[in-house]
Amino acid sequence: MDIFSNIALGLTTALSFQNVLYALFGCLLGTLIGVLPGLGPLATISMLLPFTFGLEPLPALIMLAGIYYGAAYGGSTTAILVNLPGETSSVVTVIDGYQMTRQGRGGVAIATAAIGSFFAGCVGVLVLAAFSAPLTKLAFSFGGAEYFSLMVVGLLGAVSLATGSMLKSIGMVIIGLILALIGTDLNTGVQRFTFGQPHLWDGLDFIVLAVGLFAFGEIIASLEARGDREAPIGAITSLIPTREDFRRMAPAILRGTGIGSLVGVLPGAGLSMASFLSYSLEKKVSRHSAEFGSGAIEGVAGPEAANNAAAQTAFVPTLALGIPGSATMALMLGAMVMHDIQPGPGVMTKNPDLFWGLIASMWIGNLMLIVLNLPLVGIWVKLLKIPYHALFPAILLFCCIGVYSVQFSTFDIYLAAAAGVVGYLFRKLECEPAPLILGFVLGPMMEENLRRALVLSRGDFSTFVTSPISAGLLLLAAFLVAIVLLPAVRKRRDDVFSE
Amino acid sequence: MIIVNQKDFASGLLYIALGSVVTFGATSYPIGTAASMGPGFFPFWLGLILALVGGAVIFHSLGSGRSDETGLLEAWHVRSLLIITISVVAFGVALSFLGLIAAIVVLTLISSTASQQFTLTRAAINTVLLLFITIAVFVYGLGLQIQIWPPFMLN
Repeated sequence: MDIFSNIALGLTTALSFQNVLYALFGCLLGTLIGVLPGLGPLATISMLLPFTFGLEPLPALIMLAGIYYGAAYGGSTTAILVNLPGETSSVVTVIDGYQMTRQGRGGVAIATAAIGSFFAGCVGVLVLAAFSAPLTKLAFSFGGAEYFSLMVVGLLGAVSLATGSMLKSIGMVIIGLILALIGTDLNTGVQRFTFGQPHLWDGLDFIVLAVGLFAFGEIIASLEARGDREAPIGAITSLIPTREDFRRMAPAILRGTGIGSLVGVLPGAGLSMASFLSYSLEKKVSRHSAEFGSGAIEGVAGPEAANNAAAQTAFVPTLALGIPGSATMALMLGAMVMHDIQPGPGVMTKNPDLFWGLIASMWIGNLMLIVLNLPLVGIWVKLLKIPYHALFPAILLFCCIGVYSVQFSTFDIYLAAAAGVVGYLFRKLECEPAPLILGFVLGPMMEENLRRALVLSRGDFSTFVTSPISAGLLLLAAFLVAIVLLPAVRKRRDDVFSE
Repeated sequence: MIIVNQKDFASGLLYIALGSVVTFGATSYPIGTAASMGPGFFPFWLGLILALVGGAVIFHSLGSGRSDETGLLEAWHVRSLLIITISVVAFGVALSFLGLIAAIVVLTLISSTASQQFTLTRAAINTVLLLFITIAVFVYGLGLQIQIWPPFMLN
């Protein structure tokens, strides 16, 4: 089967009335929660995940993908209108997007972001469809050693390209790996670190951890920061960009899409890297480089296209190899596991309709975002005005019900409360909780593949360097760490992130 | 030699403590050998590596010269931390003994006090609104099997 018949198969699956409805619902819900102040995409997704568990696997994944895009889109809307980046990937959008709002061109900025995102999303889906098949073939030749090394690359890549101290993030990854140990060891049936609690025999649930670390942590942190800012919301005048706007945004969108598609595929690189790279490129090549920082439309178009392209292609390693590149992808992967789908090379061959259906529904999701959200932007703006004191009890309540509904166990609620306290401690120490979730989701696979590799090699660790693929991957991992440790690069990186 | 970055120093200590506990705990399970890993093998090494990373973080946080202003330990906002945590725990307790309605009331009323704009009227309105929304969406809409009324009222 070639790529087009695959996409056709996907479209027929995804275009069923029920699945379109779930995509629509997911997009709306994701945007709705994503726009609300004080709740980033990670917290949004962890809060909404449990509500997809009652569905069949494909509609659930489609709805989740919708939530994912919706949340990201909601993040750019708040970035542009109220100078509030939802997550690191929209930090760059804030720079010129909010300036455009202050000049009364907020509507144009939002439209630009939507157009750029849609175009990039379409290209990203094609890249995803084209790359997944060969990568899946390659992955079938992987043994334990190769998989283990691949996960090392993924984890180290994720921490080396993210913000914050790399050493501390590596520590957080390991804490995630350790937390994943809790429960019954699948190979021997031994209960590890369960402290005699039967509730822990099945291990910690990743929803519990994610809600505690991200959602509760964010609520507590927001309550603490409240009071000093009531961000003025820019008025929306016109949504339609002028011809001059189109002329300026088109090349930026093209370049952003290219960068984003490439960067997204890299294990661990993530969306923020894509938008940062795109912004610095636009600033370099633009003839209007003096306008950057005071409302240059390229500064919105490029990065928004880049992070949406990356958002699509980030699914490549997640779907084809089962290795998530970011905490958000780790959440998506965890959700798939909860639906008894083990992401990796098997999905594409065993459930082709599910695999291609999901990919096609991503494109549909992108389309919905542009068709629905531009007309609805007025409603989203009104949502921004909901006072926080009315909002956070609702968020808290929905989180609690979500956590409870995973297993109908109040023990999970107490665990989430504890995770919230730990998350607050991490925040205070500036330890990023995102790498922890990544480690947590990959933990069981990592142990299993380490075990397999070492059984085959009879305990000889050189198996990781004698296999050429594994050796190459480990070299890549070493390279990723080395570039971050190089003083020159480190300084550049700090500059980019502090810009 | 002084502590330049207090946050990093504290994180390092945390990593070392956690790593040691895990490695020590792992010794109570069979470790096995690399060729046939026991359940204690992976945690044993993970704990050790975490402690080593912690050591490196501490080493990195030390230095000569002036301490880093942004690295100073921050005060904890104990009030919101406590209120939010208590309200979540209370939700769990109320849910298991009194049902969803009581749990929602408990959670919204307690958590609302964390806000600086807290007034009893606002909290009450919020509670009533959330009661209706939650019951409509989750119990009737999504059909979650949750006990709504206190169990003793049904007998």
